[in-house]
Amino acid sequence: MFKIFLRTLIILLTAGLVAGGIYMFTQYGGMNLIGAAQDDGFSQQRGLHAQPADGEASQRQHLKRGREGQMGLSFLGLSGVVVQAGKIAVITALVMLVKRVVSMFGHRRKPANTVLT
Amino acid sequence: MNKTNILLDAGILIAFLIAMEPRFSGISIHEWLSVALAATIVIHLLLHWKWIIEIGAHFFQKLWHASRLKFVVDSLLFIDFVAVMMSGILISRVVLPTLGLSITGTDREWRMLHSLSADAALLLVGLHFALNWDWVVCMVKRMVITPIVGLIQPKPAMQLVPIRNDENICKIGE
Repeated sequence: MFKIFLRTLIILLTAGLVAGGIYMFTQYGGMNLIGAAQDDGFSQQRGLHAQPADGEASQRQHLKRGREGQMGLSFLGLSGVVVQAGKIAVITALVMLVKRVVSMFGHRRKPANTVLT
Repeated sequence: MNKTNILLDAGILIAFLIAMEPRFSGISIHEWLSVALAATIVIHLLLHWKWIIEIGAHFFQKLWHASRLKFVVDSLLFIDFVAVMMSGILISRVVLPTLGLSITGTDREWRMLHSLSADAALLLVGLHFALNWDWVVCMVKRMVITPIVGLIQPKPAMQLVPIRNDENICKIGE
């Protein structure tokens, strides 16, 4: 039990260190290097409404709209989930293809070695 | 152990796919599901602790290339998940207010980081899944296909077959 607690603590500490590094990277303008300042398409891309910058009242109103309007499951978004699964399937298929090609070349090389030995 | 792993991994994959599409789940499910996902990933890491330590200790020594590649992909995935969770918490609209916390002045940079790291997570999860494909296939055969085939095909009356243990084990992290 103590071992599991200790391991969990190590994982959380590592995550904390990584988070600290990411925070430093972002605070010291790391995101500007990859063009974050010009981005406006995030909300549309993720299907979210952008956070309003004009005070607490509008933020509260925005939060209310978010809770009421987006509380339940949307079946229109289901196609998005299928697309994400499809992307993972494509990546898997590509990696399997690469693995097969690599193993094919590996098998071709082996007989040459056995002839030499 | 393998059964626990495959069930947990299937749950993580489904939760990840749902969390990746806030338009499907809605913002509150998206945020709470992601918090649950973070906790489940810690359990996933605990279940694979032995493999992480073994490969980590021998990373710069003679090691089979596939294991080293898996270790690199998994490390990148861990860093990326931390970035997704951290930026997600900083731009949170449901979880933080529910806990009575608020972060003012969060800006576009965190949103952009959340978006970029989420896209990278999809790629890395795909790679992680592909690199463990053999284990997934083995487990699906053992847990789904073999029992179904066993139900359909009638059992032979009596058969003595030598047992080969290595056939029944789906090795993880190879």
